[in-house]
Amino acid sequence: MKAFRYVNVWVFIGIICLLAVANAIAPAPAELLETENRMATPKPVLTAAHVFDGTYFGTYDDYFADHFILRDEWLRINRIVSALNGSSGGSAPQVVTFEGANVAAKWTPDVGQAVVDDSYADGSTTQKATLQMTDESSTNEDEARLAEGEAQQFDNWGKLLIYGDSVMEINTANPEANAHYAAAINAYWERFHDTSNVYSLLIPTQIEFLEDDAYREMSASQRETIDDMRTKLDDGVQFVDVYDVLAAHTSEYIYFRTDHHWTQLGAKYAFEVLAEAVGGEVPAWLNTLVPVDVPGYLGSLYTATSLEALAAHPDTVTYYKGLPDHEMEDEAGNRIEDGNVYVLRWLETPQKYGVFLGGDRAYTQIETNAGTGRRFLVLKDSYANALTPFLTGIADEIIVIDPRLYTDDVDHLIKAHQITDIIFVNYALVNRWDGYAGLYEGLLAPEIH
Amino acid sequence: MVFSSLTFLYLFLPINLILYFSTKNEQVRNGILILFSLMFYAYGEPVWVTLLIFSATVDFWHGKIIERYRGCIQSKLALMSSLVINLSLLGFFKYWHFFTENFYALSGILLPTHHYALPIGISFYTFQTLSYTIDVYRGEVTAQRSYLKFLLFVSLFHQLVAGPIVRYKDIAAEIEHREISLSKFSYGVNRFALGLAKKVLIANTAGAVATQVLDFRQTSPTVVGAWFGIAMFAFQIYFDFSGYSDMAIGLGRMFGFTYKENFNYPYMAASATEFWRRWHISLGSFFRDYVYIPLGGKRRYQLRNLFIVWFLTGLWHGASWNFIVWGLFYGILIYLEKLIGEARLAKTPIWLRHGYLIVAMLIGWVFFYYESLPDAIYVIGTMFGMQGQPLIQTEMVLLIKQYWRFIILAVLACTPIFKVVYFKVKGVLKAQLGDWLDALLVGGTLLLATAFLVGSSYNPFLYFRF
Repeated sequence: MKAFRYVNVWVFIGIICLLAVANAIAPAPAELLETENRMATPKPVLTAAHVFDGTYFGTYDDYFADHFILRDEWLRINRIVSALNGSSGGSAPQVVTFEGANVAAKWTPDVGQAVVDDSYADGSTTQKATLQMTDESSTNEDEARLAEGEAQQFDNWGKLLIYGDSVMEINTANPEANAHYAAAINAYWERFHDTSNVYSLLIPTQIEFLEDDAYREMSASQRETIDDMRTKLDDGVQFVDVYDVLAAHTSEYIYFRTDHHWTQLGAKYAFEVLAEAVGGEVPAWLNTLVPVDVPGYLGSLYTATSLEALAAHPDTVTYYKGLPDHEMEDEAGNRIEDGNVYVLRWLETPQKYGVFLGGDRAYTQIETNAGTGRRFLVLKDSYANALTPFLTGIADEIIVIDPRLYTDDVDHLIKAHQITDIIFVNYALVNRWDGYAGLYEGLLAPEIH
Repeated sequence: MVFSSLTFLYLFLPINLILYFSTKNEQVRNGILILFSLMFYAYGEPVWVTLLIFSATVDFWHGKIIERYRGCIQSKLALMSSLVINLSLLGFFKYWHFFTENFYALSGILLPTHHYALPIGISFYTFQTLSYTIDVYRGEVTAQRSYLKFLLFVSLFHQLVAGPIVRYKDIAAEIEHREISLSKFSYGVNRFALGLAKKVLIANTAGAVATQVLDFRQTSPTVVGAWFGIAMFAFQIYFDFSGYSDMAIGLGRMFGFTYKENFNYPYMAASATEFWRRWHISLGSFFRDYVYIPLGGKRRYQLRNLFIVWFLTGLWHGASWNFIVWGLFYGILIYLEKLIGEARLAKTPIWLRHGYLIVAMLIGWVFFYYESLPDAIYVIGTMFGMQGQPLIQTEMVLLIKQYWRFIILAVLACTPIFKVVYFKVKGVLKAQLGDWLDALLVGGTLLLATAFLVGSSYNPFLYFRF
């Protein structure tokens, strides 16, 4: 009787055949990949054109991977093993590079360096991604998006510091970006100073206040970044410096641990400074607000790194109830959700920070009964979302524009709504790359000579 | 398509294997292999698969002509024609831009250019078919009569895209008739798993760290950082390339083909000469047999021959000056070693020689990595503390603390130690138990690699990036 040999062969064949069959016959999983907050790549359409330009096969790989059986379990194993591999063990700090992007723009590897196989023949081993914004991608693709519209995208990678149970973005200095940013704001001042005040807020982030010098110094000083930008602003622009107030309250929960945003408590402190700058005083009703805590939040930086250690200590999203009466509307004047700046249904999703204003939207209009005669235009990134609710007490109308999504110009808005104050709100890390300023400039109507 | 992908492992390969082994008919098997090989290639190059077929067809006819008219002028003409056509194809797709750029820099004249992308694997298959026609001309091999069998040789997906460069004469017999056996298949499976582990588990990790550290926009340069980064790149390129060759050899063995080894622990070498006998062996031997020796080798005009060979070796790797510099860098070292002479070299302590090779190899990789020569020189300067960069910074300390276990694993894997231990253990175990050990390693690798491959498709949509 011949000995049974080479069981390794049967194990190999068994695994590849089993998973092949399982993938082929398994019922299609949910199209929404919850852990990644995106839709799975749909099956590419088999047309000659798609085949010959390579998109069919390229997309097929993504489709296959996204629909791979037991995908979440494989991701979990990957996380656990990677943690062993690239971690210093235990809770020691780590640095991680996140090649992050809003997956709003489509990208394809650089043509000619598509596959690493030929990389030794043609030399380059790094894959460079070129970004293509295709307008049709948002209408032709049947990917539904949680975000409305497509956010504009530019080349960015970010480094993250994992310190204890917190993850923080690391700052890098970019004087050109600072100068460009200031120039963009100055352009607004130049054009609108007859009718409106212009304010600028540049908000420092958590890593700036890390007490551990050695690690904090890995991140370029945001005090310097902010000051660098500020000195380039026109004298007429009012810079609202929230650095000191945040520094004074760092022992409180003003930043999320697993998300790159500040908490609304942090925004509240910043609002106090802004309110004084705009109206001369901190409104009394601020102290009457009631905080509502919603625990179990694992934010953007958890999603980016998916570290098990962070999952053990999630964040709590707190929003402040008791705001003055207001109505949140879209450009047509229709109420958004139930009109409240706190869009509570977001609290039931993983993206809990979205409760503030209900996510990033091209155009948001908030009407109030404040009776102050002030009408704000807020140009922003998502840090402003936590801040804007407080503005309902000091302005009759607030128009919030996201420069990545809004396609019209702001000149007509400022005129039509008789805007008294234009407020720029960004976090200090926005100028790691020079891109945002261009978005602001793009909102200005072309000059008519 | 690439071996280290989910579509290859769980769609292409199972179907290929099942179909191939469902028949005992060699003709049918060859047909299946050709079909799948062309599909494999077309997956990555849906248009230029035609070029592959064209190249194979052209050299099939050339081979027949060379043999038919052996000894006459037509034979020589056919050889010339094959050389011209193959090198022109390569030149057009790969080197035309490089040529026009340099021509413009020298003369100010702007030649017309094209924007075709480089077809995958063209550097490999043109060399492969060239070696065939040259070998037929030299009489070292008889021309293949069957077009399909020749197409099989050229298109075999195992080595088409990333080598090794397989010479026709090495597998001529197996093209005609292959012996399949369970023990060969078993070897193939083990070898394939080894390559997969090297690529997915080691190379990809090292590559991610290297990219992070060597990009000076992201990480401020330090002396230790530069060495660390290039060392990570050295790991990446070795494990990636040798892992690929392992997978190719393993796949070949499963189907009954025996390809020659392409790597032999190159980082164990103690001289540049030895390094190139252990690194990308199929390329080194190609240039030796088809360029160096015909030019006269070491007998006539050795310095000139060395210059040409190493210039071409560098150029083959990429259409850019930094690759040529990389090639010539090794050429210079090899020449110096020849001048010093083997006898005298053997007298220097081995650790000194080995240390020299490691340093030289890392410096070489700097040229390979940075396409811009000023960047490369800047980095080399940093490595030797000549740019005034600090020795080390917090971030580098962190990275080393994070990756020390990985580094030790990678260093050990560069040596034959795992192989020695493996064979010792297998020698002690009974055959069947040995198989179970293999099964454990193979199964474990497959599952881990799958987790990593799924993990690399993890692409979260961060709702708020700003």
